[in-house]
Amino acid sequence: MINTIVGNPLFGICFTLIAYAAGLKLYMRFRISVLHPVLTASVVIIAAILIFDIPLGDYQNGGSIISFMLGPATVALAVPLYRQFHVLKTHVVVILISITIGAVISIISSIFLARAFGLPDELVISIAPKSITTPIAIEVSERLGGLPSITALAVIFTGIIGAIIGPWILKFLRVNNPAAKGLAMGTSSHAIGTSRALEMGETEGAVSSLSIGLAGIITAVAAPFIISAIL
Amino acid sequence: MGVLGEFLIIAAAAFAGSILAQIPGFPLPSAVAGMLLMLILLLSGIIKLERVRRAADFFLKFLPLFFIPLIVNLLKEGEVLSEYGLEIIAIISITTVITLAVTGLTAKLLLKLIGRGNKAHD
Repeated sequence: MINTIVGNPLFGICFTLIAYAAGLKLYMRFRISVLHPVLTASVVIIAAILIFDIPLGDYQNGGSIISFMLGPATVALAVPLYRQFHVLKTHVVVILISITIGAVISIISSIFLARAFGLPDELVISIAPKSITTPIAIEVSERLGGLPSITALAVIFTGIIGAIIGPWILKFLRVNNPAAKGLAMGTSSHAIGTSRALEMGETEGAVSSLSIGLAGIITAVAAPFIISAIL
Repeated sequence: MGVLGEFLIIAAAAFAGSILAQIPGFPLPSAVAGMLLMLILLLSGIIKLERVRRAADFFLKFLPLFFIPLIVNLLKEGEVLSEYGLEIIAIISITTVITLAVTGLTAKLLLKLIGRGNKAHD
């Protein structure tokens, strides 16, 4: 009986929606970066699966329907990119060069450090696209032979770390120009860093928002070449 | 067509992207190809923002929700995580600082150079 209940795709769908709604509520209440609703929701679902011995495949009957939405959601990212496109025109050279250098350094430093720590290739690839927005990072990782679940986790941790220490690092390095700050936040820590950049100022937020999409595209193009050259 | 038409445009762009990505040697993964296609359609004015705005905002608002089931798949990677979890956190922390610093300093330097260039022109 239990099997037919949890095997219904609607079980995975309802459970994910409830866990996310609860995670959002918790985050709104305390506003602490590490209580990112995706993390708390995932922890709750994983705990329930382990405690009640629910087969992962049964949960994913519904879960995979939800994650299928990542494709169209990635296409929808064109809209914020379009909305911020006028920002690109103000400093087109600075923005494109800074994001390209930042994105490439992010991939290269991740690969070298991951190899120095002795990680297997599969994990090295999974971590390499961690600075860009999750849907694009997952696609890049999957295409090159990484593990999408590890990539998703790495992307969220990157965002949380960037959002917390980003403003502090930029202050320490005397990066005071609002556009430069936005470029650093968006290129290094995607949407989570951008929500922090929006608190820093309007220009910081706009440039950071533009950087999410551009860094995503540049990484999607560059990562396969860099990985095949180094690994 | 209203909102239904908006979802159709986004779904069609995603579909076109996945077809493009099948072409041997095509440099982009399917959803990124769909996103670029959508951006080109918007920038060229072929599709007005108003024709996709509500559906796009829906997907963007719930974007974080869509990757929860992927993270739940970490259940399959328990072994990897217990073996390399700390290393992964260390790598992420260090490289995020590097990326922040390199991007911020590059932009700062370039803005300064351009500022100087503009003054020289005056």
